[in-house]
Amino acid sequence: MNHDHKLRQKFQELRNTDAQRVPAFSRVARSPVPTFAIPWWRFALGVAGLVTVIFALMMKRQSVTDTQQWTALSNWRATTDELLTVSSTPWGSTISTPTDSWIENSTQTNQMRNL
Amino acid sequence: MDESELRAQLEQFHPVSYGWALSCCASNPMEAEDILQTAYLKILDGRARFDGRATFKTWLFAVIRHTAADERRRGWLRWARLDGYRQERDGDLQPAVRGEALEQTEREKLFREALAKLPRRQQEILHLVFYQDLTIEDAAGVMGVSLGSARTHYERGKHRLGEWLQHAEEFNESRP
Repeated sequence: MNHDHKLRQKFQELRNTDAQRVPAFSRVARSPVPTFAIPWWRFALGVAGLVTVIFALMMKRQSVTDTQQWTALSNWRATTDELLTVSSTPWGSTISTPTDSWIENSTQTNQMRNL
Repeated sequence: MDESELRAQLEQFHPVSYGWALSCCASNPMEAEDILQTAYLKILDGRARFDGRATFKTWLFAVIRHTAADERRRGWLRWARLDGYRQERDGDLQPAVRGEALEQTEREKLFREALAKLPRRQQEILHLVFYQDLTIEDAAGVMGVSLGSARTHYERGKHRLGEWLQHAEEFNESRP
């Protein structure tokens, strides 16, 4: 079945309707109001400047942190450092342990055996 | 072609260009206007150049079609960028949009819906042939497809829309 005529008629109706709401040419042909009017090169320059400032700040911060770390390292003392001084005290024969008696006993036992 | 000549040509084809832009964006008037504006700017800026290989109308329709496709691809970006412009312009458009909604007949609305259900290529070729009175060859040029492919889209689209018309008529006749 050939619908050409009916289709043409339908499209003609659409065309008539659309023709009533065509916006003015002068309005459509004008430039849109720019909401983002910064030229690309200025934008790129701004971004580059911002990156440089951030980089410089990060480097400065890194340098301060390094200095603080080295200072902290040179001041650092381990809790066991005290033991190093203890080892040089003349306590060798003055401290007795519970097992010292075993040594004495074993010496007496050996002497008795020898007898 | 200098700018004044271009402007004159664009103005001459403005009503039919608007119809074509509407067809490229599912009959959304605001989107159609945005597409048309972008296309006109491309032409007036010299980003799109008429080389005389086709008629001016065919070339203009191809530019509008490409612009609509571009806008569909980056819809979200466009939405954000032109938000300010939309807000300014929507004030001007409100009465017209309200009026057009009232005057649009139910039959036309149904026909537009049936047309919108067809594949894009079929919609385009039917619009170009029946609405714009282009030949299938010119329509193929606008759509950037071969003549054979355009003919296939045309026949298939016409067949499907014809079936819809027949059902719609039968439905209307059966109503008391």
